[in-house]
Amino acid sequence: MSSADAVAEPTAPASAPPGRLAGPAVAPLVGAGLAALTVSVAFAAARAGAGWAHPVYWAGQLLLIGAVAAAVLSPRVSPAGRLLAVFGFTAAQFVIKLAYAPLRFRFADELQHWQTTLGMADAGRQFPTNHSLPISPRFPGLETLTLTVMRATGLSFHPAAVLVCAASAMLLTAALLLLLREVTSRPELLTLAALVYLCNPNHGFFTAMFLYTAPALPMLALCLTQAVSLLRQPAGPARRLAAGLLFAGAVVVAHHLTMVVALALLTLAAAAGAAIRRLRPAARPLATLAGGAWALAAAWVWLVAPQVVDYLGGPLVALAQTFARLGAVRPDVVAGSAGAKPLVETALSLAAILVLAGATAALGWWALRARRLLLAATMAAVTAVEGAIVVIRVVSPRGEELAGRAPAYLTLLVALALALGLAQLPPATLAGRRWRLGVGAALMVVFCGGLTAGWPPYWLRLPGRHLPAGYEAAVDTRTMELGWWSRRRLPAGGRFVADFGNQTVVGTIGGLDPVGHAAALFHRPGFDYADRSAVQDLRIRYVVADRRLTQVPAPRGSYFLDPPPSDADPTRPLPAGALEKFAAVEGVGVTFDDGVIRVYDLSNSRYAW
Amino acid sequence: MAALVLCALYAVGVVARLPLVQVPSGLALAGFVPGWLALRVAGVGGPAGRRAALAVAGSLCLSMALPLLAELFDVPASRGWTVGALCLVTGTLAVIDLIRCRRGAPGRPATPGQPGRASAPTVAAVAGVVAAVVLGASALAVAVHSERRADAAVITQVGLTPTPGASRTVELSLTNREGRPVSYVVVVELPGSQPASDYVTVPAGRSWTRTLTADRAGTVRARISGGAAGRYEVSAVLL
Repeated sequence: MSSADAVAEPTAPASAPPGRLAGPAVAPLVGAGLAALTVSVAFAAARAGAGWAHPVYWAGQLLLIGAVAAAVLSPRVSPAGRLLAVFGFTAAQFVIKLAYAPLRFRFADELQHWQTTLGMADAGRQFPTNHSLPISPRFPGLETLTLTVMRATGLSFHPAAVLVCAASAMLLTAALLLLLREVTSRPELLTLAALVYLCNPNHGFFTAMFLYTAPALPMLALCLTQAVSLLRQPAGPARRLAAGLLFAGAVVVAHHLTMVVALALLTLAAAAGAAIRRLRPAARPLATLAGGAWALAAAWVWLVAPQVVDYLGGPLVALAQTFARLGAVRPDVVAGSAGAKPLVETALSLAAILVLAGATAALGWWALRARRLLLAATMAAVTAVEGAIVVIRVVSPRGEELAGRAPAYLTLLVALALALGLAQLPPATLAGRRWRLGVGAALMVVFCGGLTAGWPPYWLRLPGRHLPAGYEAAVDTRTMELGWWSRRRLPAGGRFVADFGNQTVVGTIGGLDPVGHAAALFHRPGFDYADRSAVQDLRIRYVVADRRLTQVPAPRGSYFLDPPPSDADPTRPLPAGALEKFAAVEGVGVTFDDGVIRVYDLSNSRYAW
Repeated sequence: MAALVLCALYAVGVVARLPLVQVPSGLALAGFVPGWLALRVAGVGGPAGRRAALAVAGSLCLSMALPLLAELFDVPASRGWTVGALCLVTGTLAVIDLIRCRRGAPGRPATPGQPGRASAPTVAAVAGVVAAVVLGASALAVAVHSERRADAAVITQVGLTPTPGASRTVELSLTNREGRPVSYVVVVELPGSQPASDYVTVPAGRSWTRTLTADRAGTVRARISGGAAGRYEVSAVLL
């Protein structure tokens, strides 16, 4: 920042020389590798049903944050060692994510993007049909990148996609460091703020998944880097403007939500440049950058992705509803809080938010007392946004979804604000054993809170046996083979109903069109005219009936995307008759049987008359 | 010059079908070299780490953009098109960079604070990095091994699907995913006909299919015995 209260960065205390990379500097890397191996062993133990898997998992995770936090906070580690530790942290997190499901993608959204990639590869054209996630082909950055890697290297889909995700994760860390470098040159603060970001709930799994955000987030960070650089040094902006527009363009074609965030932040930066006298020299280049990004986004939405307006409209309406009903807690939050997520985990998740909000609030208070009003206002704004996320989670009708996606973006601002604020404190304040112990403990809380608030949920944290409708645990070899069989044998776009796991796979790999709101069809005891109406209205042709639904209760209360009927007992499996009834209806064909899963064809049956 | 050598190496890897050459050189082409050359041509300076990050980001932008450019010009983004365009861009940038260097333009702007020979990593540091990589690879090896054991499923898939465009005709398919050859007894019952049995042995990983045509409306049934589940039943209603 070119404001007077931002440029006066105190000199850092003398730390280890930036000279040659010595043995101790790579010790955190070894610690991160050992942590990844420990967690992987815990995953293997969980797959084998061993009871000691959970403690080993937490030991591995604590080793990871312990080794890296110690390197970042230790005055004896060189700047290169600190940077290496941060990259080692990202690499270890990626290895842990990969070790969770090393052979194939299992998460529903990953499979949806796989379907888009398959469609592009089959047709040789962009924008294929994707019944499961229709908006995905309209933002094809991830898929086009993966296809280019597949074609350039000759690799098959999964290794190419893993390489793209790994490169994106490492690039995000590098981009984050470049962004933070714009507000402080002190390595200890740079790496500390970066580590705070890398501990956010989305980073361990979501950011490393085969999702839109994989390429979009690093591009966002690099675009913001150019904007912050222009704020600091407005002179000679041409190259930075060109780079900023290039990265903004990449964000636009890669992810709708990141595009909205990028536009909001660039507009905010341009507005700050125009409104604040000290930043006014940067107003014109920032307005050019923001205007260019808006033009790119408008052109893309108008020409390629007009449906994104409706797609993002729902969450935005939900967001507006949030603040219209402040004070009213969602009934499911109250109902779900008892006996659902363990209290310790809820407390840790909350503590992580409080630690970060407390840090920015404390820095804001210090800035206010030091009469650095711009800095104080920045800290207050970041703290307020963090508080808003808690409100959204508890109050909004789509709170979990909205709040769940926020940390990837919000923590970027928090890290930036922390780096900016800490850089203004007298160096003596940030030295000493007490400071290091305090920050180390805070990092532990933020990291563990990120794990408990992030993905996977606590009941899915370790891989193991098949769980019907249990997200990744619902996607096993049998389900995947059904998906490939459907792709070969059933007409593409055929409409079907199924439980969550089979719906995910058959609707993506299988290329069929999944129909929601199917729970009632399964829960009714026999053929019913209401079912017939539903089948005809929704044009359902196939019913996928997985016998495992009659053996294990649904881990999240419903086997389907929609909730079960009010009279259904979510703690019990489906009664056996719920699936067998389809075979008894006149004219129903059985088009697939593997001994566990059956696919019924309703096209000539009583449902269709 | 190094970029031109890389392009040549890549071509050798593709033509001779050498994955050990094609994969790393292809990754370098798709994820680093074009961006690095673009930065050199544009004379962008700064620390090597910063330029490396920008080079990767720029190259990924290009890799993202190539299939979209093909769509813009209504060209199918085939493998040949993508790889050809990637090599063309990289080669052009490499030639421009070469010409600039010949003319005396600095190939890399002076960057104070660059690591020199005196700042090369120590043996212990290299050993530490190697140990970290080995530990990470071991983590993945453990994961792959345990996942393969846990996710090994013994499955036979039986299907009965209409044959497109053919009246009252269906295809019965048997797919053996049990990891060993399996013998099945197949009993087929067409409308108005007596059940007919057949004995079929399907090798591991292979499929067996039979087209069934009925001469009247009704239900076709097929019962299969054998395989992991022991019994399978499929049916189709023909109008």
